[in-house]
Amino acid sequence: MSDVATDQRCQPCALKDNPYLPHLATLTLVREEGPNLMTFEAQFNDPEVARTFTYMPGQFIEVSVLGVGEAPFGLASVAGPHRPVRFSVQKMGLVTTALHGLSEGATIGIRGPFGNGFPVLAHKGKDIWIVGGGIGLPPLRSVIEYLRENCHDYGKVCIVYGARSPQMLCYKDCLLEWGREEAFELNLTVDVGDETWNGHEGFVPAYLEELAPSPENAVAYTVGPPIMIKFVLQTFDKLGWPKGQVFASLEAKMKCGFGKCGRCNVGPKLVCLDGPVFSAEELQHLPWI
Amino acid sequence: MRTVLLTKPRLPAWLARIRQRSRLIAPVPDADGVLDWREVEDPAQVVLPPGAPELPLKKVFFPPSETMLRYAYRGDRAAVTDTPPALEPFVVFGVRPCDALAQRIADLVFLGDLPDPYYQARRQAATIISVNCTEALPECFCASLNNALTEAPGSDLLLTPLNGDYLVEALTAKGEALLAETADDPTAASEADLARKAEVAAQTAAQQTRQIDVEGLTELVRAAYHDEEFWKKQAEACVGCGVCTFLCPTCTCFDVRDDAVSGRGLRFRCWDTCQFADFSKEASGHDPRAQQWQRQRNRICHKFWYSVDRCGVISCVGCGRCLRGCAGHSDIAAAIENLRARAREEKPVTADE
Repeated sequence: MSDVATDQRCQPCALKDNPYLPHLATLTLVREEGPNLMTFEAQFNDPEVARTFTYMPGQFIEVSVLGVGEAPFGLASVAGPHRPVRFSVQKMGLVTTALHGLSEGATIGIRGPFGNGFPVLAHKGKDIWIVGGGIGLPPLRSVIEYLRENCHDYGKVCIVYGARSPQMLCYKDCLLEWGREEAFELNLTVDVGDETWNGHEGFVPAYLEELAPSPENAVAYTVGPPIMIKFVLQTFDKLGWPKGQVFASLEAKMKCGFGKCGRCNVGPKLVCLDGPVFSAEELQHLPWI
Repeated sequence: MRTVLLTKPRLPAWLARIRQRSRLIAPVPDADGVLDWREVEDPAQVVLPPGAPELPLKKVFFPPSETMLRYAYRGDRAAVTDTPPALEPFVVFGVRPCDALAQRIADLVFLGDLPDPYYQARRQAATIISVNCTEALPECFCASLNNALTEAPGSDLLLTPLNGDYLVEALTAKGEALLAETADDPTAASEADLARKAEVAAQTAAQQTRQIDVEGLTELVRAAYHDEEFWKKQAEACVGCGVCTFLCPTCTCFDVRDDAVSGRGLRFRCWDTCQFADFSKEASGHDPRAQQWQRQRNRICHKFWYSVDRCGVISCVGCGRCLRGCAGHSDIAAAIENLRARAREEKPVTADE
């Protein structure tokens, strides 16, 4: 079970006490984000749900395409009354392909929020290092925007974000805004640059090592491909960061989202219920990679 | 709680009275002679062979397939309704103590903080009458794992055959109420009857030739996790059919799927198993358990480690169904014995040995 002290999750907002019953929602934004990647925003049809649906950065939702199925996506927005929920989707399987075929105005189903989220409330007053790779940025956007809205509660926010190519950096509009934010430090890298790119080249963990963040009064949140997370955790180790200060969000195949269907276990932990966010301390005891 | 005696010839009349009040479900042979949990029309249909019946009790509460939602959609309009079962109270008779305990273990997954409404509705509607075993099958090994034969946790009423009588023990308020409403002038049981029950349980336990030694077992399983060669050997005969998990009374994993045509459809769930290749395979192609030996390791680790960590119980009840059903004759008790042998081999030799 998750550490009670750092667990600030919002409980699922269930209709008729049935956590499997999705809230209907309407797509208000459908945007091409990159190769095979699209961003969606949805507003709940029921005004009461739209007003009360709340979540913490790092939690996820189950999105339904009626007639096709359901899949989990990390929330990319910050909760607030009547704010749309945002998530980004890479075209991979049945549900994601169906989502890519939808346009603004289409009806989808949303259940959640699920999972524990990043322990931002427990980390007030600290510097926050955000380390993302590829399509790991959308769930981190939830954290970053949260920190932006609550900037007086936190120290500096340092973002390290990389993708395989400049074209594959997502949320470019957000990156521009965050680059202008005074309390933020934005560090971008790509594995391989092109003629449009005059920034840093190299993998995220290597760049992180160059930047050499100090663990003093700081915590780090990372989301990305499993192999990147593995090396990011090793880098923080190398930089002398205590394992309790580094948090990663994992992915797994899921169906129910709240610990019943049984497929997302990593050893004795369920990614949907005990995660998706785990500290490096927890991860060292789990057979996750 | 009441403890009474019911003479064996009076059992059918008692079941008939229960059936008059509510649905009665019990092991009844289907057209192929397989004992299934079915609605009883006539108490004479009920068959109680030695050991646990072929199919696990879990299917009464967690059907192999069930509709969860229905929906309709056209253009930008949609409507979704859920379909939790609205159930009148019902009685399940002829449950073996291992299955009753298994259901209580399944409760730890399905109920709790955020209950599964479909499972919960059935569970709340049911009264479970267990019938104790007097004969063990060669595959049974509950006595080494738990107190099912003596305490029958998860049962509302427990019947233990004592020569010409059944000792009937009410174990819960639900069982007590059913007994009060349906038993026709039963005889109160004596201390001597309870002593005979203990003898019956001890005799049944003594017939069990298989055992799982639970002492320090979770630690042993955890320690063996990364021993790839060991798990490969245990899974040698596994063809990945998943029958061990489908027959397991505590395995509760499920898949959720949609089925729709022309703007109308439903979402259903069905039993699924960690033994299948696509169970944990992500859409990206990444599969944390890509090999069959990793899936068998997951099954055994789940029973003896993950369940203990998460719920505080070993989730193997010793019913033996996975042994009876396995095409490759795999034996979970033997796998655990091999695990112990492995640990003994690994143990460093000290000076005084």
